[in-house]
Amino acid sequence: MQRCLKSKFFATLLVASLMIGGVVSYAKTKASHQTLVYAAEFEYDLINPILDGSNADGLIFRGLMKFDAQNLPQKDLATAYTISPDGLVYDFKLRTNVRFHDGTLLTAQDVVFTISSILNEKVNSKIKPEFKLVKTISAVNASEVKIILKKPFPAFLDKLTLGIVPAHAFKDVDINTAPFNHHPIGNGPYQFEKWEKGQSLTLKSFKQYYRQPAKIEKVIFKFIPDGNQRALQLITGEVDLAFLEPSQVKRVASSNKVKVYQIPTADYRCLMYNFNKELWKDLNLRKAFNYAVDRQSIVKGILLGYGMAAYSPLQINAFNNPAIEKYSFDLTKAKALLEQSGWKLNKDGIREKNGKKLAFTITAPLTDEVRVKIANYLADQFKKIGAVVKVEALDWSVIKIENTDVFVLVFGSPFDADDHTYRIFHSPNAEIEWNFGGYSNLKVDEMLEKGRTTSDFKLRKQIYQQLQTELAADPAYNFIVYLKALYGVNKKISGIKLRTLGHHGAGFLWNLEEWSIK
Amino acid sequence: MIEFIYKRILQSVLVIFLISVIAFSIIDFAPGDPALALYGGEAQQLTPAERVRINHNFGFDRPLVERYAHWFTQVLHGNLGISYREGRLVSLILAERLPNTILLFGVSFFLIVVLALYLGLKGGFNPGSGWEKILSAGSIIFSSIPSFWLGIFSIMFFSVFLQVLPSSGVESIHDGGDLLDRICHLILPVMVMVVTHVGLYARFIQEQVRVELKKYYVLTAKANGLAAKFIKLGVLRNACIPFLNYLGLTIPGFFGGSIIIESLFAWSGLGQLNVKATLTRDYPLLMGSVLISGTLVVTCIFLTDLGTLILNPKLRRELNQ
Amino acid sequence: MKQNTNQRNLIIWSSLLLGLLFISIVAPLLTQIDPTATNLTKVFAPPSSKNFLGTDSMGRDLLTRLLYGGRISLTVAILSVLISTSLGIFFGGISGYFGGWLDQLLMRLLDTILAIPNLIIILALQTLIHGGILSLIIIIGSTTWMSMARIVRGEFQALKEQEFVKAAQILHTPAWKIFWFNLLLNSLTSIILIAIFNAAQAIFIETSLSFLGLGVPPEIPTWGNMLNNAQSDLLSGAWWIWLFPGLMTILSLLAINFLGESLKQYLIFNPKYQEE
Repeated sequence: MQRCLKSKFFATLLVASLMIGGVVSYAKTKASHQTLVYAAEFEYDLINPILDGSNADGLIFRGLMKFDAQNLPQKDLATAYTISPDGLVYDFKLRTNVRFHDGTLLTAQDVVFTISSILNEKVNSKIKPEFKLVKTISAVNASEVKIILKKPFPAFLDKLTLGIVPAHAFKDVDINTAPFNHHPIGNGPYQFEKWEKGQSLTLKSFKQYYRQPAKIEKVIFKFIPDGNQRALQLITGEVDLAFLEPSQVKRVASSNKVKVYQIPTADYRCLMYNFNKELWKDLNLRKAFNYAVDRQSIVKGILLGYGMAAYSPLQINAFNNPAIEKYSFDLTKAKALLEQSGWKLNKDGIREKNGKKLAFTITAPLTDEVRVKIANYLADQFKKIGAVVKVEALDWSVIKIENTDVFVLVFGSPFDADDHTYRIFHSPNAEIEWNFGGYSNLKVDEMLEKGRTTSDFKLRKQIYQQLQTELAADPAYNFIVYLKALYGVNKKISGIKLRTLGHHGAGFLWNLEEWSIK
Repeated sequence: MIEFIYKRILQSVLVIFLISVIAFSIIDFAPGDPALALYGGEAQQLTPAERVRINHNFGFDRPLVERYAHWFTQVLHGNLGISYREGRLVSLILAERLPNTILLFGVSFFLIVVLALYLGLKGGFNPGSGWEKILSAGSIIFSSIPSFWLGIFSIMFFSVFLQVLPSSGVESIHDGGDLLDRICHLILPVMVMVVTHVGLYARFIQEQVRVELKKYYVLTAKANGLAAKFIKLGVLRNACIPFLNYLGLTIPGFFGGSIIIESLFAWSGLGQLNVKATLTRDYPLLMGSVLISGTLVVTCIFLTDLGTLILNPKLRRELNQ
Repeated sequence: MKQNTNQRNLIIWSSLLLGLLFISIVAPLLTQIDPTATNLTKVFAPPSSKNFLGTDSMGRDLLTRLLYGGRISLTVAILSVLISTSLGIFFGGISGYFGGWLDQLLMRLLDTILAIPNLIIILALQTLIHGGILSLIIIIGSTTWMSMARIVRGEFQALKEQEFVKAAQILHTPAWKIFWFNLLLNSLTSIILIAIFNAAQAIFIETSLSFLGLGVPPEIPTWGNMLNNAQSDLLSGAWWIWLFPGLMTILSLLAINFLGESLKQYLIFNPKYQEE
């Protein structure tokens, strides 16, 4: 028995040494040339622009419009379009030479199918709210589409950057569970090659693309959930491109293989004052807490310098108004405002009014580290002006934003000014989706409506600048910081063009078809 | 004996049924719904109206018992349902993951058992030797290091510093997929699993052997001049019974421990899937995954029970009476 | 001589563990800093005379958090072991002593609970996670008692066949007395060893749950949380944020495990115990 065991032991040793032999050969078999490997944080659950957006969408699918370097929508599948003076009727002429990856030609029917599927009640689309203003969509002929809106919506062209899917791929199948979702057929510069579930998604350049075919032959999305792993593999050259955390930049940049890009984003963090709670109806109180935030410290300490102090929801937009009240850190002002409102310090150093302590809870989603850090820091800071603040970092499944005292929100859009402002600052009604705090200001409502129906650039700019002034005078949020997106890219890659990105660095791959590898 | 096996199989099936009922109820009690699952980290954008619409599409507005009955009849027809997030058959998703887990689990487990037997026996039969002391101390030291720590350092050392081993995944994404490549990807996760576990098992055997060696029958056998070989064999057999029991007992925990290894090394197995399904509240997927891992665990327990029975004549005799 | 070495080991490791417990208990006396006090002007500050072990990613004092963290981590370990041990003795004892169909039923129930992944149970308790530490204790306690139950059952099964138990039964000793004096006390070695193993396991689970993002809220200082925070800033070059919590975790695990080991040796070589 002993002997038998011994021999088994040596057999395993043998296997182990074989393994080490394999190691040597592993080092030799590294990557082919024209392949870009992107370290993705999450695996896509499915790829279908009708159901959900992903950063692979822009490579596989193209829409009527596409965003340019300034984040403005330009014609893509559309060769021309007209908008009626009342802003309700959109007419699009389509390219006639666009082929899907299976060789069929794209027609107006495909556009109609894509958008009407999103509006279908039975389709579990996350995009549906974006298209709820569409009244009808119809194909005039094979290369012309007419869309009629219920109300004017200037950001609608932005929405039409949505990728178009081939209608014939969904014959007699439920879109929610269609095989297409795991084997997508698009019309973009890259076509689907294979999807090794749990590991990687491979796309290859589509030779019949209606523009210049992409230079890089293959793009691989490698799914690596661990953040350290992504950064380390960038250093070892196993991946060529990865989203980085601030604390990783120094180590990654010290590798001579990698260049780190810092890109401004429209992605901001703010505290939402909940107007359903009596406390926040007091304007002075909101102003006081706005003054009590040391934004520079947050940028320096939490974002390690990769961000900037926030004062407006449109700070990154062309309509930014830099002349508004920025609520720079000022504890004296904060304390004076509290005194004015009758919040007096008691003997324990806590402010009270009518026997009630100045106490509330800041809630943040547990999965977002930056939000939790901000909440913890601010809870600690607000002690300085005599408030008792608790932090609750919770899972999304147990969060009800409408019921929190203060919630750490993420918003921001690099696109049309109307896009996110209307949905979060307009007084609550059945159509307003994201005004969780119940903020209501008639002046703001009026300007938001005017912004929608005005088409002249200068006039619109004026309107949105006034809007920002009013939002600063009667704050709905306590704006904290804008983030910078950090990407580490292997130096062999060239052709990257930077533009303002969205949440979590969304949009970095926007011109990938123009990139090349040395 | 045959009757016993039949009875145990029947019981195992009952246990699996019980697992499904309990897991289904627990999951229902837990917060979350299909719409929330679909939105995941973007839950902030989910509006109440959309939530109602999507949940209705998934039939989530029907009562618990009805949903369970529906799920159960589907399972009897071999259909584990459709994942909320992926819109694919759960059975398909599980089938992609299962081989990877079995590979990682199987190889590690095999190495652990073999190494534990070898080390444990060597230590146990040589009480007081330096070997025994090293093993005792070493096993404690290694089992005191959190596995993700060891994992990160092995990645730092082998993948970043030496650059000889791949740090994540099941196979290379470029032109990989051959046997050698797969073995390369196995080395680090298996190494971490083995190093953090083998000591405990080895020490267990060592203890058992030492206890057995003190027993009366060994002394008698020695006094009667029985060859050392036969004594060892007897001791080994008797020491193996509690070891098998111990294995059966620790398999579920071992299975759970592989979750961390899978997450760290981006090893696309059941453990990682379990975490993902839990974090995103993809309940059909979670139920399917629970059912599969539950079945695996129950089978393992059944097999170890059977093994004990075969090794232990006393138990067998009792059964036959 | 062997006896002396064991006694010495026992003293060394238990005093190390007691030392860790002691400095955790008197943490407020050892440090005047608030463990949740942030200071964003000095994040990742290296060890210095002001912050002996440096600061973390929020500028919080690492030494303070380490001491307060010990309080929570060790409390979690101790209380959860109390829960799992009581549950284990209760179920295992009944199963082992009475045997028969009751044993069969309980064992299959045990299999069931064993086979349901802990993650699911954690999920169900998520609504309780608000509180953090209490739910963590419940989670760990209620998911680790099964090994104890199995061991106790096995011990009781073997012991009840022994002559002294049979004798007690013939003399009509009440069941609880047999349970307590004959069975439980004679199984004590195994129970203590498994309990010690479970204590180490509890510390492990705490760190692992944090690693998976399912632990207690991040501002609460526990060693698991500190390690987890350090893990996300691993490449920042601030070695102190992972080294010290890591050392504390490993040190306490070593102390617990070695304590168990020397206790076992001590009991095995104790002549009084040997006679039985």
